[in-house]
Amino acid sequence: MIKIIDLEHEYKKDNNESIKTLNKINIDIKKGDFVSIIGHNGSGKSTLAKHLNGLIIPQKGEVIIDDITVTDDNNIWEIRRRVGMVFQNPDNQFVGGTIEEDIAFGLENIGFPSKDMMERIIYAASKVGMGDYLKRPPHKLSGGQKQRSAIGSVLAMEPDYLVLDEPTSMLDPKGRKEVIEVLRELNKKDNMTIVLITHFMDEVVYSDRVIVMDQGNIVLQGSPKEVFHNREMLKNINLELPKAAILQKMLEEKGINFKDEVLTKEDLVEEIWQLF
Amino acid sequence: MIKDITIGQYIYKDSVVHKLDPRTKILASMFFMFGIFLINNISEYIFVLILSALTIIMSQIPVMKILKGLKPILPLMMITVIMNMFFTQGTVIFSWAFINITREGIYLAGFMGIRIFFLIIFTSLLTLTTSPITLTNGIEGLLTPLKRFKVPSHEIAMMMSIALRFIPTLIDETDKIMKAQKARGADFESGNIIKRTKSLVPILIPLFISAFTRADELAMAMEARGYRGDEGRTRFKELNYKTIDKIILLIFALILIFLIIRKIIL
Repeated sequence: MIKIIDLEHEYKKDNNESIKTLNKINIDIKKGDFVSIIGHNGSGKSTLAKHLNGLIIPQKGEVIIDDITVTDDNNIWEIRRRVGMVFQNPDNQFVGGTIEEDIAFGLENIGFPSKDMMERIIYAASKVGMGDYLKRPPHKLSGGQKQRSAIGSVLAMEPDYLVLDEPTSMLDPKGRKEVIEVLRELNKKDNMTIVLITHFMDEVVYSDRVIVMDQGNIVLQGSPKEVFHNREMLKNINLELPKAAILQKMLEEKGINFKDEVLTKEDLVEEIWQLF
Repeated sequence: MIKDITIGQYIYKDSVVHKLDPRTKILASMFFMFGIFLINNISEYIFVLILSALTIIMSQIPVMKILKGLKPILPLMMITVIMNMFFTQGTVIFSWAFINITREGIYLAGFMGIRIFFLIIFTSLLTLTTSPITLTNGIEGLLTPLKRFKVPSHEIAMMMSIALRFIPTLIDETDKIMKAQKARGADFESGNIIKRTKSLVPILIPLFISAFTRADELAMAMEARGYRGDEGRTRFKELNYKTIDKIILLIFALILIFLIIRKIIL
């Protein structure tokens, strides 16, 4: 379980003015959870993500992974093995010349025995549906494929938690869908704990819990339904509703009454066909 | 044209050359490069041609792919050839105004051109048949004896492999930037050399900025995946010399030794 207690972070700008990017953050993430963190640029969500595997050491407050506190430099490598991280730009996290080499890179770092590596690589690649592309170089892959293999590279190290910092923001709609599907499957089938940081509302509807951040604070927290119920609040911090919810709202304005608030296209279809 | 650069590209094939130990390939290429500058008659050039052709056939890399790699180097080749042709002293066979073309000059120019040709072919072949990480392992393996003298062999090798890995990415990016600048009316093709060189600035600046951003993000991604130098690291592909490696290395070493001895004697 990941425990974040009273976490604060501030940095100094050039003119010596300090800016608080995180302000007394408290979050508990249990094993098997699918948690989404949303917020606008500058909301502190990426800074928060980097705290989860020791890329940033807490200035104030604590981050505890299972039983290890992220402060001690000696533990940092064990923390990084347990908390796998996928970043925004698919190109800038691809170290190897081919998918198999990229997956191997992480394994090499943790001192995984050479003779078992190939087996683990095949396992990890097939988990993200990239098993047939092992020898492909990154520039012969689509954005979605690159990002899926980045997830595979992390999975190979058998992390307990998977943190993704805006993994879909540079992808086309198809790539975005592929990545989200892989994440949902990992969460459901393998009970993988997933922390998804994003600013796409349509992606958070599948998570168990949504945390909304604004200017370094957690402003809303709850199930996707609960969070999106606070439409005014979301509007105030410039966050849009999922597309299906927007459509439903527009239909409501035209005088159509729905039983339930919806978040996904599927649910909206379900509501609409029961109308007449 | 920019996409034609083959140095740094890797094509996967299940061939003998691909399976050679990277150290063998690096050393053999080095022997070959030294050797190339020691040969000086037609029959030896024919021998080199046959040797290169055999290597290419065994590597299963399409010949066109390798020849295409020569295109960007062509201007450089031309300059070398012309320089050699005009500025070599010897028996004058053609003279016009202040230009003197000598017999020696023509020979030297021809040899220089052929040498550069083979040089590029062999270096392209090395990177086409060896994936960056394998190449890194090879360089690291060759540099390991120098570790005693505090040479950071692992770091050097890692830097080189990342540079190689990013060549296609940066080439794509250059292409994109060029198109973007062209769309805004930039002109890269007309004007004299100075004007054309100046027109490269709007390409280089965005390219450098993005390269630094990439470096920063890559460093973070590497750290996030537990990278901390060669401490406690294992290898995906363990290096091991096989009989074939020894034979190939022996052949190339013998050729070089023969050439060196002949150079000393004659």
